[in-house]
Amino acid sequence: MMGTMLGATVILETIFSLPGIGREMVNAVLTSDYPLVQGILLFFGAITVFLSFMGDLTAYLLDRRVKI
Amino acid sequence: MKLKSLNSRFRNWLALPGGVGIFSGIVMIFILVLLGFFVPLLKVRSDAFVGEPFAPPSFKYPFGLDQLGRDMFVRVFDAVWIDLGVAFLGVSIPLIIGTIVGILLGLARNRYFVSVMGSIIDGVNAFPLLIIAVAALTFLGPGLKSVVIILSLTNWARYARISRTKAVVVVQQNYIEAAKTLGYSKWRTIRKHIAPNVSSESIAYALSDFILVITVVAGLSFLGLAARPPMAEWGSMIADGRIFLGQAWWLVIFPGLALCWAACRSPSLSKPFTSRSRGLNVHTSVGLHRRVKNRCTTHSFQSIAYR
Repeated sequence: MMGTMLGATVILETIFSLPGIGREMVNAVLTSDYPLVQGILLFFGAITVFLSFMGDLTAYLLDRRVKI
Repeated sequence: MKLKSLNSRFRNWLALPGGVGIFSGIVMIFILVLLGFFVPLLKVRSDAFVGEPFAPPSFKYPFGLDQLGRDMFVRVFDAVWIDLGVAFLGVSIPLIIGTIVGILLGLARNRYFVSVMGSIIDGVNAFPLLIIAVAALTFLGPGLKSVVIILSLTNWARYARISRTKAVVVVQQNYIEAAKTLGYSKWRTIRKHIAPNVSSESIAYALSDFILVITVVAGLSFLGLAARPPMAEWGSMIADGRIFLGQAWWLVIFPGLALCWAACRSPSLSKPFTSRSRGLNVHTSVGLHRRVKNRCTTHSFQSIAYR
């Protein structure tokens, strides 16, 4: 779910011209700035891993029977 | 006489759970495809300049003209083939790949292979689709072909997960045991006994996935990464018209309405399919399950059991 929200930021930031990382990524793609795209992708990957880990932790805190 | 029996069969089919939903969904998609086929034939090409830019909707041009004086009516329905075609490919290719992978994983005995493949599926599923699509478009180059490739590379994992869950259950059923006892080859067992039962679930999911894929394609076109400018596509039309929203609302409203019309049809189709594929009406429902049932008799055991 958080992953979908993260993906939506790319489009949302373009629609409302917010100076965010998603818009930066689209601009980098349009100007074929490969290193910048790779960096942003790595950053998004880190956020995704962190958020899914937090999700697992929350599931454990809410229900102790869940094993991580 | 024959017409009468056809009519009563249709009425029986419509009375089943979700019959009206499926019927209205099919009618909606049929209208869209029909208009998409005939409108470009009747009128001018979608990239022809026919009149004054920003002409409001009139009797001659029902949807008005866009910022370059192109007929919006022709453009909106010219995009039907592109959008629905890409969505169809972007759903069916992952569906086939994912179902095959899921069935093979359901059959696999090697513990390490299963756990490695499971991790790969989870990993592909975890990453946001839109971000990976934007990143991959940098390397593949913008275009609709790249969008289909990316959708096939990322979306199969969801189907694989669904069909693996189903395949693990199906493999243990009695009719698979019966097929083995009758001495059918492994290939025949997979093709005629496992695959129809597994795919019913993933096909139902595919119909609801349609809406997501249409949105992704429109979103990528909106960013200018999927459909290139002269090409008529709903997402890119909305993106182009957005700048002129204050003076010409018809540039955004009509492609948006077409997009909603195409997307609204999916849930009305997918929900009845899901409930029907659960086996609630295996004996009486038409199409998919009747064909499945006729192909191999062992399925009637299953449908009796479900009743």
